[in-house]
Amino acid sequence: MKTTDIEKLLAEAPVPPVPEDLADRIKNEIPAELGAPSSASANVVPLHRRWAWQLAAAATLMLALTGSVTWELMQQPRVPLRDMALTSDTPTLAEGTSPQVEAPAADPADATGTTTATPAPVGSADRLRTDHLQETDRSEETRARIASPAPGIPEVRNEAPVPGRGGTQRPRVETTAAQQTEETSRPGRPQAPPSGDAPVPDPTPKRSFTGEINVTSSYPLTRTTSTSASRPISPAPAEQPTSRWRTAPPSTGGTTEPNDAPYGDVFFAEHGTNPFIDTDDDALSTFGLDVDTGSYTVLRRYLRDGHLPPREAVRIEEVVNALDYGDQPPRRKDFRLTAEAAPTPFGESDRYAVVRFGIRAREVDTSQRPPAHLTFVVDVSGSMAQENRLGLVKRALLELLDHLRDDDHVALVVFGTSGQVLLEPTEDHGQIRAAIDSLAPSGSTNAEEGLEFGYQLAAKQLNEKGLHRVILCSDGVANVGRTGPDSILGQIERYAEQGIELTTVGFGMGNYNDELMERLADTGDGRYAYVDTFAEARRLFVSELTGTLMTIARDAKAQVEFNPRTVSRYRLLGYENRDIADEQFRDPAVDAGEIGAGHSVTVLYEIKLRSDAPRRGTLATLRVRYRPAEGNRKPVELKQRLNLRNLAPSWGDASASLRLASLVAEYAELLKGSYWARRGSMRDVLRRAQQLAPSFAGDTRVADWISLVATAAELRGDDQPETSDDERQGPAQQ
Amino acid sequence: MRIAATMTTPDTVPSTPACTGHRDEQTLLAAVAGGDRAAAEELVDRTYRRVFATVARFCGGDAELAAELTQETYRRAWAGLGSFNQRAQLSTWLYRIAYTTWLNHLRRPQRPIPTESALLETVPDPEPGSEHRLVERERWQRLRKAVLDLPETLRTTVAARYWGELPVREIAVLEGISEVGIRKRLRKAIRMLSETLGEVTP
Repeated sequence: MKTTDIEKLLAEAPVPPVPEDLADRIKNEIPAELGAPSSASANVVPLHRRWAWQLAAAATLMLALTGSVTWELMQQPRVPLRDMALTSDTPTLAEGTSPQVEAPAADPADATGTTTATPAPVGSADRLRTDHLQETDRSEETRARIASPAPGIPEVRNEAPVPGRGGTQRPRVETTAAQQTEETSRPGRPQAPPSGDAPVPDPTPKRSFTGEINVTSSYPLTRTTSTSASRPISPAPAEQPTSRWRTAPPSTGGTTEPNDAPYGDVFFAEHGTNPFIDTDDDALSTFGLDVDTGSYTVLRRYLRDGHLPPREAVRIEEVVNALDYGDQPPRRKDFRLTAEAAPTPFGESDRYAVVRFGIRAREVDTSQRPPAHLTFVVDVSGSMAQENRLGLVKRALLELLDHLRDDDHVALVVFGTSGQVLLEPTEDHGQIRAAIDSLAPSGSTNAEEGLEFGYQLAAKQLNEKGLHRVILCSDGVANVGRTGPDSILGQIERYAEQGIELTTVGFGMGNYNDELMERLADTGDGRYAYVDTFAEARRLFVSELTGTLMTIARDAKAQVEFNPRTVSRYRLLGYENRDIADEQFRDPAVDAGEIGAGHSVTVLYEIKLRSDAPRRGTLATLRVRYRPAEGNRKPVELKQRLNLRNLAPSWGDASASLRLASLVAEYAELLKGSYWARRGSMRDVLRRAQQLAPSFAGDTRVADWISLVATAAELRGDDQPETSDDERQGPAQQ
Repeated sequence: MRIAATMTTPDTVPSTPACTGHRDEQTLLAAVAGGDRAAAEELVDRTYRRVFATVARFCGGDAELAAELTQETYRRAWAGLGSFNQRAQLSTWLYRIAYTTWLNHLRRPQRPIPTESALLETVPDPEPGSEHRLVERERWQRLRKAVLDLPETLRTTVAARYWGELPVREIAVLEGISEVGIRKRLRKAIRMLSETLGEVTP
């Protein structure tokens, strides 16, 4: 049945004839005393009962007041703590970039109960780790002044003896808890904690540790902690507007002065880090695919300017996806899937392996793509004058123009204080060029009006065959117009339904809103990219033009099923804000990622192999589900299996692609301050990357990345031996 | 957009002209709230057909049950006059009450709770009509079942839009999300419905 038929049928649902006496029946029941302000029935309540009612109300009110006062009291510690973060903690913060502080800052994640200090073979390093764990536990305990815990909580999967932890876990964690914790834990753990004076802030006062525990993650944790449930409760949806639209805490990215962010007003959103998940609890890992690469370039921008990026600027999957791992495009189908695995040097023991799934979309030749209708919406507000952002946009657009076909249409809308149509849709390159040349910065930023005009132009040209794109070039700050993101997002969504997609291209760094730009592209079924250099603009607009323009698959989701007989636990690297409930994998109502022609998506997992695993068998199965953008649009599902025999015997035997991908991921995790990379060092990544460089001799992007690793290593200053942290703390406890 | 364009009020429901004037509604309601019985009767005259139509669709065409629930809807409406939100439209407010009434009816313990599919089969056909109509009915009942099987958010949205005939703007207020969100839901719902029914119909 066609959708139009459905609509018609729905609207024409048969209605039986109205009973003739119905109106009278209703009217007969109109009460004698209509229209009391509160309710009709309250009117007839006898007086003494009304008194009773008021008494009850008063009592309730008093209770509520008392409750709120109590609540206030419980909340109070937050204030001094946050103040401290800005003042008294400064010395500790100064070390924020050194590994000593970083490790403890990530430590609370120990409490997720997913840490496995391997029980049987306790090598010296392992012992150190365990000791280290215990040490931090104790310090935390004293700091929070809680009595020792309820023993014997069976659900907790800590193999290492971690006192005082298990009983405090609760199955469900509110996002706010994670947020709050994030704020308070950001300054790094003070060594002589002044926060000892104040109770640990916690939204649930009875359980003093929950806030701390889940510092790195909010929803994915539910899976590991609530092991008593046979099936994990479906995690919170990836999009949670209330939690996502908050102001980022002061950036810790500065290397010189703590709390002095290198750029003013930069907005990122923190999504935590995925935990390890036991295959016994949940062997399925489901998420929406993502081809954005914005985060990679944002990090590059920070590093090139001599700053370590703030953690929340790191989205691991976007960093990983920015490089090419040599996956070949398929000849006939929409996608080619590849799978490989090898032992990882970054795991906790030699039973850890890294798994890489490559998903490569077919390529479409420029000459074969449908004509494009591009509407550029360019921010010409005052802020675009900084750092010659607008200059970069102009050069990028001119470059793009040279690579457009003659039947492609370009329209240009600019917005400053107000929106203005600069160029109606045209194929005339001379006109387009003149319009681009005339761009000049002025005024404030009314992105909404600009987008509105852009969409109107795009809608005018709408036809079945063409590719319709609105391309927003901005520093992402909408400060005039209906600035609430929802109003902009709502419009974008509507146009996306009609087939006009939105690509957002971010420029500039001061006053930059990464979060908004990503969200806009997400809503507009498009792609988010960040342009920091002309080369990046070229890459985006020219080399990947077809891919950026032509969507192959919509609502692309991936589900990886691990074999519990071979894999004991797994951890997805990145995709934190793309989580989808397992059972929603085949649910067409769930939005996921769009993938363009020639794009490739790389998915990495860190897994722990079972010691008693059989010699042969499956490690994992990848399923990709999407709706083709063309043709009958019925959902398609592809499958790729990864077998034990695909597992390389050692890191050295692994393919260059796999090694590169896991190095890039480690780089991202280090910058993110991920708990799982707490023992890694950027120097180590650099050394390995340099060894790998010859395999990617022709790839300038890899060379570029290696130079970033070098910069990051220098900025972090973590050239000490990897275990210095443990050695220093371990013996002190013994 | 597209959906809104094709969504005209079906002829089956006589839409009383006065239903549309927002300002009129306000004065009328003020009068009702002030205890004006005539105003209340006028309100009933204006709205009861639509309420009945909505409820009847909820009930799958059972006229007697629909009449009963319509009466109950108004009973609740009189009692809840004070809760009327001045910004909402009268029709939206009544729809909401009707919907709640229907839900309550489903949950009511003393009656056999008609499960969604059972409801379909047990509901008598009040108006046999011609052969053609029977086929139409049959199709519609299948669609109704598919709607009831939708995920909850989609189901309520579809019900409000097509059975309650509320404008998207009003549903947005009702559901507390943006208009676009509503449209997106509707689009998804219709896609899902066409997939579900597509499997059955050649």
